[in-house]
Amino acid sequence: MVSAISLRNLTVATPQGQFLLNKLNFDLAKGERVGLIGASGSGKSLTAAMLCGLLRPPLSMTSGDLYLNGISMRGARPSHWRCHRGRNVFQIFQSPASALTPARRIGPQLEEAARIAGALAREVIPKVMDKLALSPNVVRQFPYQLSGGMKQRVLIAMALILRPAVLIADEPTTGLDILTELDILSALNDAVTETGATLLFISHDLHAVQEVADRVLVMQSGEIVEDGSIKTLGQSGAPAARLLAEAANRLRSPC
Amino acid sequence: MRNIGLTVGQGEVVGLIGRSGAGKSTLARCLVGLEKPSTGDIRLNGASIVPGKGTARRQLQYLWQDPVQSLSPYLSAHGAVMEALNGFSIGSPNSRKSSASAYLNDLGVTPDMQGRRPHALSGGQCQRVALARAIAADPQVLILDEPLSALDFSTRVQAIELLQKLHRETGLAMLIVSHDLAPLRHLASRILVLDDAQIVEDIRMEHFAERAAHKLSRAYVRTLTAEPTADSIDGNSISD
Amino acid sequence: MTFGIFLLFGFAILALAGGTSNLPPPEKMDLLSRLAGPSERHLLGTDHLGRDLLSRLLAAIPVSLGAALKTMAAILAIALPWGLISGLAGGRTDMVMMRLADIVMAFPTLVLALAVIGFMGASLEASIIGVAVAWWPSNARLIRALVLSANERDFVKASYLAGASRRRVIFRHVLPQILPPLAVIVSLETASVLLALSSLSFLGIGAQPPMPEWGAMLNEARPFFAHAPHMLIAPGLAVVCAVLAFNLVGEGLRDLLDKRRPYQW
Repeated sequence: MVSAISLRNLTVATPQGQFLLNKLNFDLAKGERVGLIGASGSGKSLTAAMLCGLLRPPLSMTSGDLYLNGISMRGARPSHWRCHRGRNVFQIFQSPASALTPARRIGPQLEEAARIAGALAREVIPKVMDKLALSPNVVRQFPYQLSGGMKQRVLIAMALILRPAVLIADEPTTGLDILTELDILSALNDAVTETGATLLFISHDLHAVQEVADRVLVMQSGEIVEDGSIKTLGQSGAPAARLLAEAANRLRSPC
Repeated sequence: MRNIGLTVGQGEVVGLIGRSGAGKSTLARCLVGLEKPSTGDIRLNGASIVPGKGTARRQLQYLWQDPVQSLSPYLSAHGAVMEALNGFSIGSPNSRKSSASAYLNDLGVTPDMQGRRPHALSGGQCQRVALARAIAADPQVLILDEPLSALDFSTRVQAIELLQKLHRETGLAMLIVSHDLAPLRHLASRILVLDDAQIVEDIRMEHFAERAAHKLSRAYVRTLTAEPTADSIDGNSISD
Repeated sequence: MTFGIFLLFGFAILALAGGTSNLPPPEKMDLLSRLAGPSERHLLGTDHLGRDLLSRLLAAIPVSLGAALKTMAAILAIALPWGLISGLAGGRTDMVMMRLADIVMAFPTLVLALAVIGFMGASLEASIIGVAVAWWPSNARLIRALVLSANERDFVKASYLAGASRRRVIFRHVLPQILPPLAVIVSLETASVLLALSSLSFLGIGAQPPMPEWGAMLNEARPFFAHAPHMLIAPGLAVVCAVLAFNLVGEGLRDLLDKRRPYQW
């Protein structure tokens, strides 16, 4: 079976020769849910941008290859990527505030997503709004009128409409309080179950990853240092992975 | 925000939790004069104070959520602590240089890091510097706004240990604002739950799980029951 | 930026060279060789009174550029404290100071400068004062905006709460933040001030004859445009180069001081 995403020795370097991503190798099967975790500055968000074809010059794939559904994306032109984004890959960003157009109401933005997906806006929007416990009024509101958690839910609604093959969530709960975080994570889980999408969940918080994924990739200074089950992270050969498991354990342990 | 009453005892560590937008930070900022309350008064040792003015400026120290942003890019770590010592005229002018180093050293900022400016330090190190600066002012109460949020996941454990050590050694009273109950279990002896600009629960930490009654408090209790990562390195808890 | 600095240095060296070279003095008239084109004796030719154009052009460097710098200094002397006090004091002081600046800004800048010059009598000094009076409010507003955003930064408040005196906060934490953008603004504004002063001289109400000044030289050249175009081209090019130099330096400073790094994610 063809993997949804497959990276082969993928490297991204600056023109000065500094490796930002170094020989990434991993495969995400269709419908798999995987966490990508690492300290800030380890290259997680850059990986997400790369998977969506959002690398801006002077950065580009220096060597290696990226396959989406078995199709090589090496050297793909921006117009080629544009066809992929939305239908095949969709990203939920860290700051939902900047992912929604500030000057348009939520309704038209969701309708646009429905048009791209070829779905009937009148039917699909109320359905997903209901599923995410968003009140029908939200479609008439502007993004600034919504709280951080609501905006994130609107983006998940967009994902539900678009039904992408791969959903990338880049720190979707950072900056939200813990109760909202749990709501968003369960909404995300439901959305992925319903659409059967492959999920790549990026976070620096192991607890959040635990809520949605079993398999986890640990990243450190641009390299994948561990690829395995969350449960066995504590016995990992990579110190960064062990450190994370230990931190997670200690933060949650009772006194 | 209306009719808030809260007390922090001598040497007590109080945790203040609530959803975002509930007014936790506003409350904390009022205590140091970053926001002005419309009515009501703030007392320190029984005497009414004007936050951010006179001796209250020294006695109530505030720790920003983002430690990197709260340090001036124009001063080294050592310079930041010196600024507090000079500003409040603490100790004799000759001894300040060495005592600033000592404060930083105590909090794990080694001499080779003390000459660096914030952008050359990590988030965790910046927090240590900000803490040293606050402690150097010799405060009575330390107010911490989301001390863990801006830190990396694995740095958080170190930050908790640091605050525990600080409290053990100085007996400083602290008010810790947080959106997450879990880390407060290692730090606070009393928890206040803030909802819709009102305090809905005020209870000792050890009773929280069993006796907290408000529905928001129960929601927080449920976040704790998420099972800790199985099989990871044996859980010798932080506060043993 | 390097080209801009190179140009400015070039002007400075030329100004010095003009003083020491064996060119005829800028005021020396030679009525026999009026309106002569460039020749070996007069490299850029002569004007309608037979004065050596190159010599006048070089003698005008300290006058024209000096006037622009003096004007900019005068503008900053008013605008910097005005914007700083207004931004830091806030409340009523801020409102009164800004409304005063707004009233001045409500007049078209050149018209206001003309009014001041009309009141004082035409001279280079009057035009410097006139331009400064008309130009300071926009700069004061800019500085106030810079101060407001600088003052909102967490570390400024943190420094105050951690014991720094008000004065220390202003001089160690607020001012250093506004200096880099201010340097950019100053070099760009100097160019526009230079143009304004030259325009006033061109209108005949700035530098008075026989003082050599680029704008005034352009004005003198106007009637002879058809048969002595060299009279117009030389000072015109000088103004263009000076403005270009200040703009290039300003742009360069902006690139240099802009701290956004390209590879941040």
